[in-house]
Amino acid sequence: MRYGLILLAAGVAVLLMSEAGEWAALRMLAVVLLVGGAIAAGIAGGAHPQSAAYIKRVGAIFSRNAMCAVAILLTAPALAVLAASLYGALVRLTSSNAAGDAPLLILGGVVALILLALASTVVVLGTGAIRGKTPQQPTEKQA
Amino acid sequence: MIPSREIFFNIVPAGVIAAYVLMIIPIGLLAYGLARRVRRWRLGQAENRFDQMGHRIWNMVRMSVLHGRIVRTRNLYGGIMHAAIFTGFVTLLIGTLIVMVETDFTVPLLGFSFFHGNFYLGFKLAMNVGGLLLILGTSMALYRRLVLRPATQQTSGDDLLLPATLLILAVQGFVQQALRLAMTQDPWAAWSFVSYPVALALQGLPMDVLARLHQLNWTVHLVTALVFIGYIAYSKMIHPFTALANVLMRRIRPRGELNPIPNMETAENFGASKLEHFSWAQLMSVDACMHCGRCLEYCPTFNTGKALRPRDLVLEIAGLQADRGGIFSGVLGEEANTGRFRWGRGGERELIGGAVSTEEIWDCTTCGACMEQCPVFIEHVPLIVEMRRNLVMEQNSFPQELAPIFTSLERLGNPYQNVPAERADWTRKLEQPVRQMSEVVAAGETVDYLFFVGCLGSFVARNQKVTLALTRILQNAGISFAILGKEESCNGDPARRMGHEFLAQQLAMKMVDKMNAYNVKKVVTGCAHCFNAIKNEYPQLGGNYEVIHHTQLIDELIAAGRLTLNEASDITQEKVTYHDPCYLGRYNGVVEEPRRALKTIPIVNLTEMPRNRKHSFCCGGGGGKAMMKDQSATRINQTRAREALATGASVVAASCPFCMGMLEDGIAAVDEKSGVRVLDIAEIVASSLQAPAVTAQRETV
Repeated sequence: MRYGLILLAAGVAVLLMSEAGEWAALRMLAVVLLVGGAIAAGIAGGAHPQSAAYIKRVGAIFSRNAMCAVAILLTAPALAVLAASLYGALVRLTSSNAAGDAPLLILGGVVALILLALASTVVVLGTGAIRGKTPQQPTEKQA
Repeated sequence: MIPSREIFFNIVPAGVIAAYVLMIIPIGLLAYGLARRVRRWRLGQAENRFDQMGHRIWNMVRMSVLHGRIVRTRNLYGGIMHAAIFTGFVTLLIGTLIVMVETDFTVPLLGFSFFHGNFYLGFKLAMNVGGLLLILGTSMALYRRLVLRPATQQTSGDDLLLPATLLILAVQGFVQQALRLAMTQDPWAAWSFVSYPVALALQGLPMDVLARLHQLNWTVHLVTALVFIGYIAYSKMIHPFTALANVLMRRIRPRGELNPIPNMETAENFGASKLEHFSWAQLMSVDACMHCGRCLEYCPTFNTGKALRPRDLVLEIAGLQADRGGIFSGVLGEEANTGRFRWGRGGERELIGGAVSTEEIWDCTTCGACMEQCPVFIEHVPLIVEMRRNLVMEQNSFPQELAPIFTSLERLGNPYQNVPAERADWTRKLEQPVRQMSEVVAAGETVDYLFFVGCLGSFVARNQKVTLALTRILQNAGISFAILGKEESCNGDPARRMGHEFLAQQLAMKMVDKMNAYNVKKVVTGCAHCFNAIKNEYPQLGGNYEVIHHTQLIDELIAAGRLTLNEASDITQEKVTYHDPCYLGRYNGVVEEPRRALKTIPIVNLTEMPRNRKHSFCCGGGGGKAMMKDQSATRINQTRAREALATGASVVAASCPFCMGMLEDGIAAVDEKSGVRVLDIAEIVASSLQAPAVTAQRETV
């Protein structure tokens, strides 16, 4: 664990140096140190006898409702942009100066609608799954 | 103007630093989860799976990366779905790495940029195709889980969360690209054929709103990706690691060969009553399961409503292993993965009786349909046999009807309590005598083949008819052969599959000693189980022979013109369907020879059952089940009998005495008045035989 943490600390330091001093060449070294440190720390953590208990304690912090809220927050911007795109396509299509772009705007609206529908559906499904709701299989009847 | 774009466009330096620093959390969690799993696997018994690495790697590439094992004609939907998700995901992953290499390696260190021009345009195109494929594949997965709902799938939260997250990641990616295109008026925007039309529709928004949305979406896309990476090790998304490892490290011995218990006299335990009794590779294999349910498609126990479902058995063991390893935690970890077979039920449970029920262990017919279907080569049957071994050899716990079978095998060398001296009594019904190996050797002569008759063919009246038919065929073709007669005993297969490894090795060793003493080189068997045991398992004990099943030999003899068949026989004009024995077709790939032999009989009209060849459906008699009671509502042999009757055939052709018995019983129970007969291919061919004009008795094939 110690080596992992040293690598991580070094990685953060090198990354800050590379960004602050505009030494972009150091960024690759920072990435290597950070990834190496994370892997080393993870492996060392896996060998620690108490690690499962610690992880369990951390995991218990997250309630289902909190996880659902996170899921919605993470998907909301994309849904909003797609809705805006759909609206934008409709507004431009109904305006007088869209004649040349009409086919592409229609296509844009259709793509936005499909993506919006799919993303909305999986948000509902995903939050349902987090809340422990899965579709009822009819029965595992014989094939 | 050269086509290109600014990497980290519209992202503040602090955001870039945060992205790099935050990635250590999910990578650490992934490493932690993998390390915990590897520690569990390492508790297993030693087994060498590191031989033939070149072959193993090529096999892994062909079967998994190139989808040779995943896209199959009988499961196209699932195969195409996986191929779409895989291709899309890998394309996008490579795309992300390309950007990373450009921005962190080639430009700052080498002063060289490749992310422009035609490469860049191709990159844009590929990313859009990859994103579309990912959306298509994940949509297909969700459609199957939610709408199609095949009987073989049971959906847990994990099964929904994974495709949902992947789909959201792809949608966020397209949105991100559309926002950038809308802001930059990119002249090459049309190459991003999915995002471009969306970007056009967004162009009415004020620039500062677009910029804010771009930054916000970049942030949530990053966080979603990091959450996804962190979730990998605690979900079935671990399968890119475990499944590839399992395919790479799979057993490359014949699938019909069970591993013996080495050094039986000094072994401290027999079989598996604890996780640690399995080999490390077996412990790894259960973590490769991704609940696809393919193992259930042709499984006789699942399809007849029995307790054993191979997928659940694997997940029960995986769940116990996860509980012992303390791998899963928190509401999401437990809730998303709790099913009737999953983890979260406590690591203190016993393997047998706690995680896996004895009913499941004894339900298995060892037909291998699960192993044939599994896309990641999990071997269910050896897991079950290991647990049977422990029940039989350590706990003396097995279905009571097996007690007299074991006793008879031990004392008399056959499971039917027949006297060994009567083993060759069937030969009395022959016009032309059959020689015994002892006589041949005593006379200082040799024969080309040892005909290993088997217990059913020797003692059971119905199967004796098959033995007689096969003998007539061999004599008619002038094959030089002999039998062991009363020196023959059971080959050990039933005892081995029923978990009595000690008895199985004793019986097999006796036969190997005898056959080696007689310098046997070639063996012809009349039974699929004898064939598999002698061919695949006797080499473990020093018995190396060229083993041929009687249907293969008949096919060869017909092809060589050694057998002449009549235009008419007692099965004239009849419709025949062929049942593939599991230990012949599925385990040993002998599927065409029996059919060729049947087709050469001019008047046989061969028709196929829906489940045939390697996708055949078990008769219910393997793994010692022919000697155990099947008290469930739907019997396996009756299910197969119904399938055979549905073809309209009046003859069911068989090539294994166990199948023959099971099918005859099944047909009698389903429709006694159908008049459908079960005949061995040897009987069908023998009934069409012309008397040989000139028979050279000592000719060889």
